[in-house]
Amino acid sequence: MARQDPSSALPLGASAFHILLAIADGERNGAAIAVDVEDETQGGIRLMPGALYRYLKQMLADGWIAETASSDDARCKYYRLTAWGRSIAQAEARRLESVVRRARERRLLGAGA
Amino acid sequence: MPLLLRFALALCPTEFRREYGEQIAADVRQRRLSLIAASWDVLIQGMLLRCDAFGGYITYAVRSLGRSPLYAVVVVVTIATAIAANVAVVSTLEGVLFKPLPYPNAQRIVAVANGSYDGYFSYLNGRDTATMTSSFEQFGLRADDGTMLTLPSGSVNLHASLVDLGYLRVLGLTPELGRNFDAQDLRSRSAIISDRVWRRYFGASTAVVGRRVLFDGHPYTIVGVAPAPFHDIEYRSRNTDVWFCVRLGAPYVTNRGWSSYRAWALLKPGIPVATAQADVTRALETLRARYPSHFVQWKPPSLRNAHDEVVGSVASMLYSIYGAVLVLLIIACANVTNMALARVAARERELTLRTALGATRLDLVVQLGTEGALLFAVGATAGFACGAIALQLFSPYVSAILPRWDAVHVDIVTVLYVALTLLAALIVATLIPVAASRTELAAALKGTGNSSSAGRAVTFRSLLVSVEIALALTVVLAAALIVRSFVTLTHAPLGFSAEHVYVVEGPTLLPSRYKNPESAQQVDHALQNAMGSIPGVHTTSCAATAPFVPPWTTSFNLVAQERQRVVAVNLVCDGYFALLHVPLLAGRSFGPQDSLRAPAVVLVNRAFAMQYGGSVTNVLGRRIVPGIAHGDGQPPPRTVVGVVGDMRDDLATPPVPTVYAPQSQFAFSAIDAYVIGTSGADAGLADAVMRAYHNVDPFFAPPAVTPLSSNIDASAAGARLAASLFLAFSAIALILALAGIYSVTAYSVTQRTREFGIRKAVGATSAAVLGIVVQRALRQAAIGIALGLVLSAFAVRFLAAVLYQTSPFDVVAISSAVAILLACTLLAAALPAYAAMRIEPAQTLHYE
Repeated sequence: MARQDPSSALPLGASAFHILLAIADGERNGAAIAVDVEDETQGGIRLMPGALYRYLKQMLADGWIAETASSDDARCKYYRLTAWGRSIAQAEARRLESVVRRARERRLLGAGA
Repeated sequence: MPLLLRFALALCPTEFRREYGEQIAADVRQRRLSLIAASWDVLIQGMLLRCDAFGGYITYAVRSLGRSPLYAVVVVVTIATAIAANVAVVSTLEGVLFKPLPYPNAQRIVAVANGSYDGYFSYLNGRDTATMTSSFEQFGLRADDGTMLTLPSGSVNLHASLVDLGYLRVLGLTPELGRNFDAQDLRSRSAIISDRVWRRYFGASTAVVGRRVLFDGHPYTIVGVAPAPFHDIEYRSRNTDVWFCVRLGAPYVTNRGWSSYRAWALLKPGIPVATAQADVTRALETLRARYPSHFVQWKPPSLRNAHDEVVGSVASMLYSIYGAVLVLLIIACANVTNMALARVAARERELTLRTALGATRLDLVVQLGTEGALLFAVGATAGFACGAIALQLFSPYVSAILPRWDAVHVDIVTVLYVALTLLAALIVATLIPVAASRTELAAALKGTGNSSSAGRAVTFRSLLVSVEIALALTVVLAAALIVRSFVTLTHAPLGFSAEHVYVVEGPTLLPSRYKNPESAQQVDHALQNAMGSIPGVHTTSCAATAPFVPPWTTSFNLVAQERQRVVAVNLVCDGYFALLHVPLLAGRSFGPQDSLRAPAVVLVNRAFAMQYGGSVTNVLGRRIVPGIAHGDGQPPPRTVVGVVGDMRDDLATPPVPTVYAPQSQFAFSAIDAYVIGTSGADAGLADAVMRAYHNVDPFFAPPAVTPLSSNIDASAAGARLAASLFLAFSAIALILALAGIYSVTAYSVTQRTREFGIRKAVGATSAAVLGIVVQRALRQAAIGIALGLVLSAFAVRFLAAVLYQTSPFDVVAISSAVAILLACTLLAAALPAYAAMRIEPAQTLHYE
C-alpha cells in the first residue's frame, strides 16, 4: 500500500471521517464511536452496527486504526488512531478547512459564522 | 441473539461474523436500536463484504483451475460446443420459423390452393374466385416465367414472375421508384424490375421509369423499381428479376385451363382462415359446377397461412435438429457436473484443510461455484462466438436449402434464450441431482470422505452417467434413422442415368426474327447440330421439360371414356430416352415415321401403363386424348405405341403417370431444354455451348449449362445436411457419454483399489477383477439404454415427419444404436478395467 501521501485517500466519506474524529482524542469501543458520531452530527449520521464494523474492519485492514491492548473484555474491542490514520484525518481536516475558507471568500459564510 | 439478526449474520462472510457477530448483537442491545433496521443493515453490509471478497474468490478460482488445465479445457470445450450448436440452431429457428415474413400485414397473407391441378389456378378461375368471395382485401395470382432482356450490349436471361393486379398489393409492395401496376397495365406490356436489375443493367438511373425495353423481343414499359429487400413470397422464386403484369387477351389469360398461377391473398382484418376457406370452397364449387372439365380430380381447396406455406416444409426438420442440440446441451451439463463431482472428490484433502482453517461450508460452496461459473462464462462466451462463426461458415451451403435464410442472425433474443436454456439445463443436470443426493458434495465439504458416503456418491454419479447414456442413445438413434432415411432417399431408383449428362436451358426466340412456327423447329435442329459437333458430346436431344424437373400436368381421357383425369405430360425429341438410358418396356420408341402428318402417337411410362392398363403391354394400341393444344382446334386422339420405364422428377415422390408426345408431331416448338450426353471430359463445355448458341443466333442469351447429377444432388441437399448434422451431434454425444463412463469407472477403480487388492490376495484372478469392473460399467449402460429406449419412443414420433420411407421404429437403426453405445461403454471401461487387473495386492497395503 502506498503510504507516502495521505491525500491519496481523500476525500473521505462523511461516516469514515467522523469515525476517525471520534477516536482522535482517545480510544473508544464500537458502540461509543457510534454514539459519539451521532451526537456530534446531531443525529445526522446514524451508524448501524453492521456498517460501523464493516468500516472498522476495513480501516483495520488498511492500517488507519488499531485495536488497543487495554480492552479488559476480549469481546469488546477498543480502537485508536494509528499515525497513518491520524495523517489522513489531518489531511481531510485541512482539505475541509480550505473548502470553508473558499466559502467565506465567496461570501457563502459570514466572517464570524 | 435475536433470530432475525442471527439470520442476517449467517449470510455474512464467516470471518466477519466470527469477528463482530457478538459485538454487533451487544451494540444493538446497548444502543436500543431497532432490530429490523439493524438486521437489514447487517444483511446489506454482508452482501457488500461478499462482493469485496468475490474478487478474492475469482483470484483463487483462477489459480485453482490453473492447476488442473485438462479439467478446465475439457469443461470449456464441452460447454462451448453445446452452446455453439444451440446458438446456431436457435438463430436459424428464430429467423426461419418465428420472424414474420418481410411484408406489411404478413400475418394476414394466406396461400390459396385450388382443388384441382395441384392447387394451381388459371387466370380466369382465380379472378372469378376473387370476385365471388368477400373474405379478402386483396387476391393475387402469380406464375413462374423466364424472360430475356435485350439491351444494346447483348441479351441476358432473367427470372420473371407473371402477376395480376392483386399480387403485388397482397405483398404490399411500395416501389422505390415509379408505381405499382394498375388497370392501364392490363392493356399494355408493363414491367416492374428488381433493384438488382435496375443497378446492374440500368446503372441505377432514375430515368428508367417510363423507359421502353425489350423483354423476349417485345417492347415493355418499365413502370416501377422494387426496393432491394423485396422478393417474391415463394422461396424458390426469391431471385425474381422482373414482374410482368398480365395482358388481357393473351392465351395465359383467356384460357380457363391454363392452370399455372399460385394464388396469394390478404385476409380482411378479423376474418379467420376457416371462414375464408369456406368462402373459397363455395366459390370454387360454383365454378366447378359451371366448368366441370376444368376441375378434374377435385378435392376440397385449402387455405394456409403464408408463413406456414413458405417454411412448413422445413419446420419438422428444424425442430428435430433443435431437439438434438437441446439434448446435447443437457448431456454436456450432465458431463460437466460429473467431472466437477469427480474433481471435488479428488480435492477432498484441500477442502478438508480449508475447513480446518476456518472456512465454512458456504464459503466452500461459493468457492466451487465461482470456479464453475468462471468455466461456464468462458465456455459460453466461446460458444456464442463459435455459434455465430458457424452460421457464417454454413451460410453459402444452407442458404440454398432453407427458406428465409436471409432472416437468420445471431441477435440478443437468441443469446438470451440460449443463456436461459443453459441455465435450465444446468439446473436439470446439476442442482437437482446434487440437492437430491448431497452425498458426495456434502461428504467432501464436511471433510469426512468415509467410504460409505463415497460409495453412495459413486452410485449417484453412475446414475448421472446412465442418464447421459440414455440421452446419447436418443441422439444416436435419431441419427441412425435420419442417415438410413437419407440412404433410402438417395438410392431410390431414378429410372434414368445422369452420368455425363448436361441440361442446357433453351433459347428465347425473338418474335421479330422467328415469325412462323417452322423457324422455331429449325432453331431446335440447328442448336442440336451445333452442340452435337462439340468435341466430347456424343448425343443431343431435347424436351419441353428437362429431366428431374416436375413436368406440366394436363387433363386427359381414354377414348370411349367420358371421365377426365390428370396426367403429367412432356414433349420430347428423338433419342431422348436412349440418351438417358430409360428402358423401353413394350412397343416402340419414337422414330422418323412420327412426322407432323403421320398418325398421332404417344409413349406412356410404366406408372401410366400399370394404372390404366393393369400391365405393361395392355395399354399398347389404346387411344387417349391428352389436353395438349395442337395449334388450333381440339387436341387429336393419340395412340399409345410404347411404354418406357418410370423416370423420377423428385427423389421423395414416386413416379406419376406420364404421357410423352413427340415434338416432331407438333407444328410449334415447345422445347425448353436440351440434354447432351458427353464422353466424360467436360472441361470447357459451358463455353463451347455458349459459342454454339452464338453461332446459331448472336441474339441468344448465354444459356445455363448444368450437370444433371448436380440437380439431383441439390434436391437431396436438405436431407444430406440433416444427416451430416445428426451424425456430428451423435458423435459429440457419444464422446461426452464415453468421457462420463470413463471418469466414473476410473474413479470407482481408484476408490476400490484396496478392495481389489484384498480380493486378489485371497485368490481372485485378474479376470474376475476385470469382470467386476466391466460388469459395473455394463450395468450403467444397460440402465441408460433401457431409459434411452423409453425416451426415444417419445422422441422419434417427432422424427417421423422428416423420415423418408423409414419407420421410426426401424429395427436396424435401433439395434445399431444400441450396439454402438454398448461398444462405447466397453471402450470407455477398458482402460480402468485394465488398471484394476494390474493391481498388486502388496501395493494396496502400502496405498492406504
